[in-house]
Amino acid sequence: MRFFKGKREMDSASFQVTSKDFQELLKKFKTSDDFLTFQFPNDDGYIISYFNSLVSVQQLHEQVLAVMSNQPKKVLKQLKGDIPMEDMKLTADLKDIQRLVLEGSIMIQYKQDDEMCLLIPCVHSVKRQISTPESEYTVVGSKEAFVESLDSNLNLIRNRLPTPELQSKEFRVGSISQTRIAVLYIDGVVNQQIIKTVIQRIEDIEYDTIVDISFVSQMITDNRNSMFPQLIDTERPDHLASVLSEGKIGIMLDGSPHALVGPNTIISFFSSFEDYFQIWNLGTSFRLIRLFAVLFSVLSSPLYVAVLTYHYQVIPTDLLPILISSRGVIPFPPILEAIVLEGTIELLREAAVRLPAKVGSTIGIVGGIVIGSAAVEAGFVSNVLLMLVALAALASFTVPIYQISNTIRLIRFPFLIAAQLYGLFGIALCSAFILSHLLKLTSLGSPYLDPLYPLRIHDFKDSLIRLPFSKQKKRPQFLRTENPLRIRKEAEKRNTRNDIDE
Amino acid sequence: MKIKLLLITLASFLMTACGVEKQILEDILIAEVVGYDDAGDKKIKGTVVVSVPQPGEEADLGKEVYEADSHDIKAARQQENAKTPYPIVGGRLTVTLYGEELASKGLNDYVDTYRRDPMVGRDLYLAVVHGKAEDVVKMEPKLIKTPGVQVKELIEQNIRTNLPDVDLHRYLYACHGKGIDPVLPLLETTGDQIRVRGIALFKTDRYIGKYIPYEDGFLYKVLSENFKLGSYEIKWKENDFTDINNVESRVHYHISNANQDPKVRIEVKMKASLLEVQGYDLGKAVDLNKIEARAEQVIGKKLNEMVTMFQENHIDPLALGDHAKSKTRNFDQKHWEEAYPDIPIEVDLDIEMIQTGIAE
Repeated sequence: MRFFKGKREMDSASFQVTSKDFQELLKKFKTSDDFLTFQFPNDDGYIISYFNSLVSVQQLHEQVLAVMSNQPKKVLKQLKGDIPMEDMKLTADLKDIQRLVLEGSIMIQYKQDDEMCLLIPCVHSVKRQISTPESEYTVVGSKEAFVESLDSNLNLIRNRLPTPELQSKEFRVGSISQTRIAVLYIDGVVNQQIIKTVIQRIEDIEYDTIVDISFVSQMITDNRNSMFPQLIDTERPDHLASVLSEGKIGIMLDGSPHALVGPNTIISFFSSFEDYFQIWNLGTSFRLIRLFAVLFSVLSSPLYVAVLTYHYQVIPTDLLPILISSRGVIPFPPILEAIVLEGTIELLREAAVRLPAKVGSTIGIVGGIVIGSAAVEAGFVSNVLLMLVALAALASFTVPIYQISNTIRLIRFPFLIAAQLYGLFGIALCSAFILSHLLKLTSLGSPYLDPLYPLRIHDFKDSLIRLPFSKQKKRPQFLRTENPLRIRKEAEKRNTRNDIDE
Repeated sequence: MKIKLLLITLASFLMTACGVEKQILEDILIAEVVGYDDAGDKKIKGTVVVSVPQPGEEADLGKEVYEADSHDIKAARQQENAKTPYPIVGGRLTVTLYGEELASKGLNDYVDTYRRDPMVGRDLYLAVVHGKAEDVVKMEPKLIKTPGVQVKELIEQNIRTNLPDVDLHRYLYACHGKGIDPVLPLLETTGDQIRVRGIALFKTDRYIGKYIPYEDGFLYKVLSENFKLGSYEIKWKENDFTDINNVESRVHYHISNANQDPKVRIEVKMKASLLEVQGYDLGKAVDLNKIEARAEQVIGKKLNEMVTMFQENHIDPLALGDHAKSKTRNFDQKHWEEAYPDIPIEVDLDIEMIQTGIAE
């Protein structure tokens, strides 16, 4: 580790300010073929240069060139007053010039080799239309999802939270990519300590290009080697808006259609945003079903291996003949059988993700039905295990957040090995390891196992269970918000409903 | 850090030897019922039924019987293993049967291995067989496919009405406790069927050769525990019978002056219903009071006889001594044992008819 450290610092420093003087910078720009430089309106006119790949030609024509064309040549300061555009900058600062030109500004010089430039932002960017969420699709609720443009995303959030307390702090990350990153929070609600932590960690990021928010997520989480994600990434503006008002923070990156949300508890990874769209008792039941599904998904095949290898005593008498006769023809010990089958399922999943959507669905059918029944008929695996593994795979799909479903996919393999080595004791041992890891884990400094450990009775109102909105008077305790009250006192008194009284 | 990694890798290599003995389900023979008989010359004959997996779509289990003669049970198991392709394991043993002859010599030596073996569950049923245990073990069950399950379900079914709830755990408690003697179900073979003959009575671990017949098992159950099922037939007129159906029965023991001049009163309260009455006048409703009084008289007499029989044989299956011990300060065990056969024990029976069926 130390070996690389010195080198990286040097590299990143050299990327920051690339050129020694203005001439060198200009030379560098001109090497690229999409950099245009010309004089306007005549041979004696201003020198206008820009990257034509970044600049909106229409704006340039209508707002800049039109103003210049029929007028005598003025100094840049006067010209700045004439052009009807916002946020123009008159500067000789190399750093600014480089940054703004690369962002799509037009650079205007009074005469050749003049270091003073007028920079007019005139960005032309290709944006995708706002579309429906894909990984967090819900039947009811909004159908908007974030897109790649940070400004559009901020617009979506601001529309939902029209309050001056909603603040966005912008930074740039990546020594080459210089990507815009924004930290969103509601001032007066959020705990300042969390913001400081996040900002400090973002400032500490050192990497050349940050392409996606998941890079950031990996770089700023508390434990960078943990299989358990500590920041949720969401593509739903309504989700982000609602957790912001809860006192969490959001992080968005330009070019990435996802936002990071933190701090989180492990239970928030198993609660779908749709739980809030349903009446509380239904929402609670589905949450519990999901939690059970996760446990089942992780433990079913390890338990099968443990019981069949070591603990024939726990099998109910009525189940014994079924299990024995289904196992009778299998040439492998239970562990191999389980690994073969789990491996097949993982193969299918990976293939289905990589393949284009139309082929993907056929793979599901081919894999599930054909391979499965063929394997049973060939006597490779027992049909009891096939059923268990298929059910476990199905159960793991109920998890609403993609990152943790990957964790669940993989975490059963250590359990399988432990089950083979020591049986049920091995499973208990493996659970103890994972539990102690979870106990140590924090998400942006908040305990990961929150309402369970440390025990916070109040936070149970929106964790394993979801109580009705009238019971959600306070924001979650673990966030240590500056204003813990969600429902103001006046509203609390109004117990009787003010329906029309006749 | 590096040392830690090295240690972990080293440990994982070295600890591969620290495995547990594997018992993969299809590579073992699971013993279901085992029977022991006296084989003379201080030897016993063990007979065991194991289920043998039949591979295929249908979940069929064949059965196989192995026999061995030896001095103790573990050795018998070992000798049986000499004839089997896979080791016989006892972790799912449901019933252990003992021949009458062996049981009357004392079961202590032959229950001991089940007491010590952690593989054996405490819910294992023990039973005495009238005749030879191997006859029951070798019996071809008719209704239930899996061998062994038959005997277990037979006992379990009857525990609800006519047999005391005795498994290995309770047997051991009664056997080793003071002021208490165990009882076990007594089975027999009749033709091609297995039948519960009654409740075998024990003095500590020795079968005394006497038993409570199956019908009277209900009465023993009434005396010894609170329960909710079962029925008893009484003769209420010259040639007419009626069935007292137990709805809920409760028993209380009142033991006074246990250290000097003990007196015992057993109070039984039974709520009952009538589900079958013969020979009543169609024009009138059944005279409940008459049946109640008759039932109290008949059953009460039977109960008193049963208690006297226990006293005559110096056995205490009702655990009266145990109750006395728990209720008396500085309990004098010796005095109690000496006094037990002559203690006046009064059984106070109160039957309340609460239903007469849907006809009336």
